[in-house]
Amino acid sequence: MVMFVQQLVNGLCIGCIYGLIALGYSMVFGVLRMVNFAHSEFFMLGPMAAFIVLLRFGIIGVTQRSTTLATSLSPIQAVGAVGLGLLVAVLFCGALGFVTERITVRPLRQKASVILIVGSLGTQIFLRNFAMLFLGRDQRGFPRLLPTAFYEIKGVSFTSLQVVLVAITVVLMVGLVYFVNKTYLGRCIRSAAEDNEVAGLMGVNVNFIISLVFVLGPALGGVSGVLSSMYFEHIYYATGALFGIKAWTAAIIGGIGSIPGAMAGGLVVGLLETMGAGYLGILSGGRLGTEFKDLFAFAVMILMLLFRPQGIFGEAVKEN
Amino acid sequence: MSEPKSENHAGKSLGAAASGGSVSGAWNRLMSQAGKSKLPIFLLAVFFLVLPQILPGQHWVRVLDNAGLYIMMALGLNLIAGQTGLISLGYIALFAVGSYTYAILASAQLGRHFPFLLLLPLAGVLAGIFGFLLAVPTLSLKGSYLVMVTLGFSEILRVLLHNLRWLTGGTQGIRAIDAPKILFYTLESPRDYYYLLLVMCVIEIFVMRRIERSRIGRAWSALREDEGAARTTGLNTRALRLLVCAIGSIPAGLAGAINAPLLTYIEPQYFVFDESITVLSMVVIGGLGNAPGVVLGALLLTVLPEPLRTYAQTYRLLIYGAILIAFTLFRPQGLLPRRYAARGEEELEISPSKALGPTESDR
Repeated sequence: MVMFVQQLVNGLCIGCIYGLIALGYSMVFGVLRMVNFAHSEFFMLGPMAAFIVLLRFGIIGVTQRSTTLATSLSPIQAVGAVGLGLLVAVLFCGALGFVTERITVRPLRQKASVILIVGSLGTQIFLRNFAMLFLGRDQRGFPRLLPTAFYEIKGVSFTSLQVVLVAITVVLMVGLVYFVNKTYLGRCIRSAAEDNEVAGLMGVNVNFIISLVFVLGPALGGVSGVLSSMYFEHIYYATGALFGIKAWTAAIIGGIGSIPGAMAGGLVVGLLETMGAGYLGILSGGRLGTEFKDLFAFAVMILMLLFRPQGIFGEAVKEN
Repeated sequence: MSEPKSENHAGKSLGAAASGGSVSGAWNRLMSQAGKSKLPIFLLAVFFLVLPQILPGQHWVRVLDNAGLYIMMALGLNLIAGQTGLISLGYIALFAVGSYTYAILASAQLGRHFPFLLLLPLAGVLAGIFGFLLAVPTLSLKGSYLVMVTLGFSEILRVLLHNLRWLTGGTQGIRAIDAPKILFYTLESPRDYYYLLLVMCVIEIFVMRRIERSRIGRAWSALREDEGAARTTGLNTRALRLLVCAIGSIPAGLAGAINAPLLTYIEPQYFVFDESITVLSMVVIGGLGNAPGVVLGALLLTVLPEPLRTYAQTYRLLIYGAILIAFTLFRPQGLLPRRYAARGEEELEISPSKALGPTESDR
C-alpha cells in the first residue's frame, strides 16, 4: 500500500510535467487542427535558456562533469533563482513560439496538410539541433536550485520540489481555465477553435488568436521543461522527442482540444508509467523490467484511438 | 480566339491535341516526344551499370549501396506521402523490421540459416503487415494522427529492440549475419550489393509507376485531393488508406533485408528516429509524388554529405531541418515536381482546397 501511494505521488509529479506540455499541443490542435511537432522542443529550449541565463548570473557553475550551484542560496534567493529561471523560460519560449508561428505556420496554413506537417517537423529538427550547438551532445546536469527537504507521511516520502512542482502546475491550470473560460480573449480562442472563419466574421482577429496560442503553448512547455529539468536534474538537447510524444499521447487520452483533458491525460500517462515501473517486475515475476514502462503510454494511445478517439473529455470526433 | 493562350488550360481541358496550333502546344509535343524516347533511359541504364566499375576504390560503391537502400525507402514513403498525403514517421522502424527479420533468421542468434530468397519476401511482407496494422487505429481520424501513431511505433520498437535480448541481441545487436546467396552466387563485395540494389530499385520504380497509374493509384490521388469527395464518389477510403500503408511499407522491409547482410551486423543504434526524418527529407526535397525526383533527392542527400562527413555529422540534422523549412516555404513541390503525364505540363498544385482552412470541421 505504501508503495502504491508512493508511486501515485511520483506519477502525479511526472503527470504534471506531461500535462503542461500537452496543453500546448491541445490548444494548437484546437485552433488549427494540426499537430505542432515543434512544440516538443520548447520543453527543452525553456530550461536551456534558463540554464544559460543562470550561468551568466553566476547562480550556477559548470565543472567538467557536473553542474552545481555556485554559491549556497538562502531560501529567498533560491525562490528568486527558480522564479528567474521560469521567467526566462516563459519569455524565451513565448517569443520563439511567436517567431516559429510567423515563419513556418502562417505562410503554410493555406497549403496542403502534408506541407504543414513537413514544415512543422523541419522546425522541430532545426530547433533541436540548434540547441545542440549550445548544450553539446551529452546530457548535462541541471541543479535543483531549491533546497531539498524530505517529508514523510506514513512511509510515503516526497520532496519540497515535488510540492512546488504540483503547486505551480495547479496555479497555471486554474489560471488557464479561468483565462479561457472567463475572459474576452479566452472566448475568442474558444470561438476560433470552434470555427476559424465564422469567428473571423464575428470580429475575432483570428491571426492574433493563433499567435496568442503559439505564445501560450510554448510558454507552458518552457515552464514544464524547467520544472522537469530541476526534477530529473539534467538537461539534454534531444529530451523533447520522448517527452513530446508522451505529452501528445496525454493530449489524445484526455481529449484533444480540451484543457482539463490535457491535464487529466498527463496524469494518466504519468501514473501508467510509474505504476508500470513499480509493478511490472513484480507482476511478471521479474521477466519484464522497468525498461518496458515506456510501452504503456503508446499502447494506451493506440487503444484510445481505436475505441474512444475523442478521449476522456473530448467531444465526438467527426470522421476526417 | 479559340487559340488557348495558356498551356495549362489547354492541357487541362482538352489534352495536347487542343493546343495544336500554338507555340506552347508545339513545345508540349516536343517534350512529350522527348519523354517517350528511349535514348535518355538507355544512357542512364548504361551509366548506372558501369558506374561501380569506374569508381576508384570500394568507398564510393558503399556510399552508392547506401543510396540504393535510401532510394528504396524513399520511393516507398513517396507512395504513401505523395500519392495519398499521409505521412508515416515510423518508416525506419519498418526498415528495422526487415533488417531484424533477416538478421534473426540468418545468423547464429537463433541458430537458423534460412536462404536469402525466402527471407527477402518475408521481410517485405512483415513490414507490409506492420504498415497495415499501424494504419488501423487512425482510419477514421485525420491524417496527422498517423504521424503520431507511427512515431509511437518507432518508440515501441526501439524499446523492444533494446530489451528483447534473446531475440534481438539487445544493445549489442546481432553479429555475423549470413551473406545472401542468390541461387549459386554469394553476394560479398559492395559491388555485388550495388547490382542487387540497382535491380531492386528498377523493379520498384516500375511497379510504383504501374500502381500510380492504375485504378487504385488514381483513387489514392482522389483521396489526397479531397477525402470527403472521394468517399462521395463511392471509393472505399478506409480500404484505400490501409492498402497504401501496407504496400508503401513493403519496400522498407525489402531494403532492410538487404541492409542486414550488407552491414554484416546490426544494432538498435542504426534505426533511430532521425533516419525517418532523412527519408522524409529525401522525398520532400526531391519532389513529393514524383519518382525521378525522389531518386534524385535520395542520391543528393546520401552523396553530398559524404565529403563533409566529419563536419556534417554535427550539422547534418540542423541543415536538414533548415532545408525542410526552406522547401516547404519556397518550393513545396520539390526539385523535380510531379507532372500530370496525361495533362501535359501542369505541375502538382499544392491545392488550397485541402488546406487546414477555417471551414473544416474535422474533429
